[in-house]
Amino acid sequence: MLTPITINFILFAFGVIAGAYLPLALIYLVSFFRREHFAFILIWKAAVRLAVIILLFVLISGALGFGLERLAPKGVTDEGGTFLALGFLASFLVGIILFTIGLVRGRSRVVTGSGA
Amino acid sequence: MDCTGSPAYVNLRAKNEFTAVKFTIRSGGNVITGLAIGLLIGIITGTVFLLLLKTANQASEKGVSVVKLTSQILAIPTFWFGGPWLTSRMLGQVHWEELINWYLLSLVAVFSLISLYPAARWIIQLGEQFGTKRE
Repeated sequence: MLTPITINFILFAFGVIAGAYLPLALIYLVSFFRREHFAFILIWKAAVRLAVIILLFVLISGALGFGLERLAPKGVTDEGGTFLALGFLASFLVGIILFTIGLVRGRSRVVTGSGA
Repeated sequence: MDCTGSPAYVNLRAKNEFTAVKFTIRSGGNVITGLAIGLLIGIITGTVFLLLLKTANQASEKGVSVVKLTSQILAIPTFWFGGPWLTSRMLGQVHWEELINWYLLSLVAVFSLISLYPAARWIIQLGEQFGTKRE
């Protein structure tokens, strides 16, 4: 039912979104640790957040796999897997670049603030 | 001989004494319909996704339940493939097998573009936070 172009495009887009949001969610978790003092409640809160992140990712991946299995009778080919990996890597690299830009901006702001 | 379908998809079925013949005439209407519906649904669900992310970002401050927000985000795919718009009277004549490819292409493109914008802003914001606290 679905053409290979559509399947590859869906997998590429999924790779891009996963590559952007998955590291972001993990960084968000780390920033949570930095803000508060270490305690059992903190571990519990972090565990809940981590569980929600993993659950959401597994659910979305499962829904994608189930949908493609039903809509694409021939299944996902190696080419599709390549597009998925390509999207993930590209998005992850762009994410690192954006994070570095933010980091530099934050540090320069601190330097400007302390210098004034 | 009977003729069924819509201006975008015409189905002709003829039967003589030897064999039953079936013709299917397709036109470019499927492409336009699929792209337009995908664009529309992509914009709607993308905007909803942005609003839910904004609410999730303020969840800890306002005391909004994370589970409730998660369930609302998970309801978006249900809207993509089985929302009330799909079974409505206006789209009753549309043959989804013919336009599913175009629908998915435009939906995925629009939704990805809309959902990647807050991700980019969020990443920069986190980088700034990390950079500010480092000194």
